[in-house]
Amino acid sequence: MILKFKFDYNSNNNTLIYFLHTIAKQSNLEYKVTKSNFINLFINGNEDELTKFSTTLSSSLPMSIFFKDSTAEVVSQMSDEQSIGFDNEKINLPFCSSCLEKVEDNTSKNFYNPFVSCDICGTTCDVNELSFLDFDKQQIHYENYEELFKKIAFLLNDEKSIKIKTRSGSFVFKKLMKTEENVKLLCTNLANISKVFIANKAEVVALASIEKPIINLRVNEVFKLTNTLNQEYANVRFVNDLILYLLAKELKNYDIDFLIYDETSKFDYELTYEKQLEALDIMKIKIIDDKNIILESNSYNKVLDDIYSKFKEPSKSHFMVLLHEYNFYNKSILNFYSSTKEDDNITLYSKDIEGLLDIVSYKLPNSIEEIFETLKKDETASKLLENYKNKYSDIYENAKNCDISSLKTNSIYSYWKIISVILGFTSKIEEDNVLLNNATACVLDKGPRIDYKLKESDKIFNKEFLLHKLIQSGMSFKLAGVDDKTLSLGYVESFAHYISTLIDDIHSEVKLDGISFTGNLFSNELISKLVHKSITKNFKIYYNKDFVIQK
Amino acid sequence: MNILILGIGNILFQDEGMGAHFVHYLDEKYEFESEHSSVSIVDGGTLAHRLIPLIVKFDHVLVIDCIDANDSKPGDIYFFDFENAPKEIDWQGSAHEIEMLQTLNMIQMNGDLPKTQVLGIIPKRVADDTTFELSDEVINATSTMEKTVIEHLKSLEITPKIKKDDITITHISQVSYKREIINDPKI
Repeated sequence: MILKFKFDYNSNNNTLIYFLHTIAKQSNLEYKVTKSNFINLFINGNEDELTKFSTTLSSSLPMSIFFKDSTAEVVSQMSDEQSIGFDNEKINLPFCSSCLEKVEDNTSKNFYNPFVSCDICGTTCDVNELSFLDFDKQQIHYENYEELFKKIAFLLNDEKSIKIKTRSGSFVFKKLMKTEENVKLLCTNLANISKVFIANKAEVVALASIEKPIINLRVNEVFKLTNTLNQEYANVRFVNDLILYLLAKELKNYDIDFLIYDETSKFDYELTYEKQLEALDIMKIKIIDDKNIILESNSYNKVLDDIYSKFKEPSKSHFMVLLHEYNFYNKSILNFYSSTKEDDNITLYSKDIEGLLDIVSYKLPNSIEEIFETLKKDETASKLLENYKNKYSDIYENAKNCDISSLKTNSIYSYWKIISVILGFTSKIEEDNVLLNNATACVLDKGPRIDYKLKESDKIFNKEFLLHKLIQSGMSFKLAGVDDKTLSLGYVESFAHYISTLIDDIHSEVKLDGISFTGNLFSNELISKLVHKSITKNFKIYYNKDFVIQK
Repeated sequence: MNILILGIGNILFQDEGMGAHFVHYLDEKYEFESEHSSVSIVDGGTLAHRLIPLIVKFDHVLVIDCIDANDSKPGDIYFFDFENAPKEIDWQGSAHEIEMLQTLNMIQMNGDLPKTQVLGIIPKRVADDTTFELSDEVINATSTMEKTVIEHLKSLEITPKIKKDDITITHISQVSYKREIINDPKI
């Protein structure tokens, strides 16, 4: 009897393949791992053997942020597809469930051993001693690791700070107490994460996953009342190596669920070891509509960096990386690149045109006065401008004379900064994007429809974006009495509608297989939410698999 | 039967936004019951030809928009079949009206136009000021428009039920730009 397990795994890394090989190998059954759009495991055995194997697989296979779905079915034969081997490539991962079984077994010689070797996740380590030092670098004696971790937990509870060498670097940890500083947090007990943060199920699962990423979470209202933290959001991660895991176990005895950590604070004690282990990357992610957006990572295949470097424009570099990650060279994909750091672009890739086609790019004006001059050329717009000048004379004069030379990127993000001045949300070009902040703070679900218009053209490419129309409709709504926050929401919401309309327009000319979003503007929760809502379900949406959304 | 009530108009130009405001008014005031039919409401604003994919999905469309007509005065209401428009009707009042006419013509030429009725109102055309305020003539016409739509829906075996009876077009016109439609299309 042959059982086929099919895994929907949205990454090109080898972690899942590695685990499947390791676990299947230990069963001594005949098996094969193949990879197409899915990763498949075929395994041959009698009913009892396969039942036993399935149980082992489900308990040994770690959760992963890339893991979307799996199915199992009985098939008549092993696949003809070529088997995917595992070429002894080093896998560098946090602990797995098998590691934990070993260190938690008090009859095992590895009880509380943070350097245990594991034949499932492949962790091997020849470190054999942890040094616990006081402030004068004097060794503090301990009988065994259990006693050591109990002692460290006691000291942390006693408000001491401790520098700990972890597999991701050395950090100074201390108990979560009132602080005015912007801090990062290590969660030591995920069961109690909701005591401090608002986290949905997908975020909690991601924190616990084998990748142990950092996620920026919002502090909950109840915890805010304690005035412990002076920040709305904080970067949070779960313990990602066995030293921190074993410490976390002991911290439970003191009801400590979070530690503050950084790399530079002064410390009272130090926990360290001699050897330099291969550094474990901590990626930073965001989860939007069950899709992972990789914000920071070093864990992707470095071939992607080579592809990225082949293009001068970051918008194209990002798009090409995405096409490579999904092997979309035979597809037609429309990519939206919007960024706070680089020039935006909307680009079409299609095998039929043998390459990339610029659909829309943006151009910064030289000044706000230049925009006003464009408006004056049209009769209706000119009257509107006159009305605006009369009703909001201070805002108008300030905007006309505003220096916008600090804006460097030709992007929607820059346009929104200009609009913030013209509509009087702020008096100057600011570092922050006031319009986007306003929209985020708006409690309504809907704002007014703002015109994101392109100049009429028979061509589907090199379309010209009409900035003055974008400004004109905002001025109209302001004159009609719409408040700043609602107006700002209208700008962001209409940006999503503009994307959706453009997709429909392009699709009517070139049949699209999917839409991709690159650039960090699409990691903004509000923007992504509105964009996903606007796009009809006929289109599949893609983000980079392993590569960062913004280099 | 799937029925669409489509409000058209530019809400930034007073009475020209009446079509859009009026569908929000209906949406806020009524719920619609029927054993065999559905009623969807859409504020089409000035989207014009972007509405084509939406319009063609329905079996019956009721377009509410501003129109022009010979020998008419602001606040006059016309209700007619798009394919048999009275001769005095002129749909050339403003840019959005021309676009909507073109849109319906385009769908008709492709043979995809559902049965389409038009409820047209003559706006009081005062230019320049961008405001959501409506003229008294148009405000006073609301009850006739409402009655026309309700009777028409009843003829299509729809039972409109009032869920809020203190709604006024004056209030709705101030908030429709930020209001989500409740009876939005489910098809």
